Amino acid sequence: MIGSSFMQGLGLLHLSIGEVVMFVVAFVLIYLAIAKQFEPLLLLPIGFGILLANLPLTDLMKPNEGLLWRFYHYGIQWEVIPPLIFLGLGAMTDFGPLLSRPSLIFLGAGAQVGVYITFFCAKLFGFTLPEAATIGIIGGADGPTTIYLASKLAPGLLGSCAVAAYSYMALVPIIQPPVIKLLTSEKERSIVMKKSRKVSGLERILFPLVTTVVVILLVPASAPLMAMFMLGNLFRESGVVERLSSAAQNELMNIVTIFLGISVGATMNAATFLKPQVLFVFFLGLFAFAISTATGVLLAKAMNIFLSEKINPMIGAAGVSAVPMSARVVHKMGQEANRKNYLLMHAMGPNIAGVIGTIVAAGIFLTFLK
Amino acid sequence: MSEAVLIFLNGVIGVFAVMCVLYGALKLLGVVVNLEQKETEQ
Repeated sequence: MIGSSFMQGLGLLHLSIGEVVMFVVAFVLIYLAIAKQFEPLLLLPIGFGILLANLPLTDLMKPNEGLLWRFYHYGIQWEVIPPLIFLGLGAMTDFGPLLSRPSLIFLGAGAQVGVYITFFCAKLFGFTLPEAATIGIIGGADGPTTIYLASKLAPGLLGSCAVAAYSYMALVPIIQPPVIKLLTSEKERSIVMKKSRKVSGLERILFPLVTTVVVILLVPASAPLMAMFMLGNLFRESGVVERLSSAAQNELMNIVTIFLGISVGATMNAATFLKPQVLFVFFLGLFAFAISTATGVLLAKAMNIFLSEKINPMIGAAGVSAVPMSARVVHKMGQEANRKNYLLMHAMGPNIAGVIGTIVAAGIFLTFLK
Repeated sequence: MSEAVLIFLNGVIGVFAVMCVLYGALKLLGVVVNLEQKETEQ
């Protein structure tokens, strides 16, 4: 009798094939994080979260009881963690490259065209409008925004969209160069851009205040992410709250990253993840990255028609907000085309404009679909 | 599908419209700050 009860409680006997497959998914992500260093800060806790969520009889994701459910519910469903990540990102971000040449802000918008094209394609593939919006925003290359939008519009796709976003962000050096090369000539890639002007301290302090008011007045649904992003930046630029700025960049960022990763992983159980539509999510996510890169580059080329001082069209690719990975890719490609080319700081402008653009795009989706 | 088209168009136009307003605000900010600095120097 006692032996029988013990056997009943053995998780091993309740293990399904789907859960074993999810173990493999978890180990692949953990392997990629440790051995290949693909976005390890996120993929490692996500992989471990997947492993935990698929261990039978643990009740870790049981509503109102499970530990991981509490992390997920109070962290993500209550919209706490993604805005806090943005607080840290704001404190880490130097908006100087954007302020020195404000016209680069349009490249951040150009890359968002890819988000909406992917949204439209996902709808054609048979996804619902909220699901299509969540898949489209992967093209913004912004993990916290993807998670935020997924939690509000399509919680069932949260795990797959987050993993797709972070995986492809790690693969930016592989995804972007062929697209850029396809759309630009050697001559265009070797365009050298002039050094940008110096930005005053007062401009840097006023920027987060102005941006908060302007963007939130126009797209109120973007408020949670935009407000925290700009508050973090104000901490940084004001120079009077060094402790808060440091805490937002380091301790707070690290703590919320742990809870974000493990909560996202915990949503990926066999029942929700092992569906054919998840394959479409990964395919469309890759498409979104490529098409956003393309629209950014094409907009940069279009801007060159009107600009007297030409810009290197490759920096349009940095309009996806994979900061600073895509700016580094553009810089490297610029140096391959012309050794005197130093594009890193120029590409950082569209790169951080892309973060703002993705938040705005998510806000517009929420305005229509929530 | 018509709703998808509506969101697509509003999204693309909306993002550019927000960036246009933000661009204007940043240009204005740059001008005002520069004027302020010139006055201080004088």
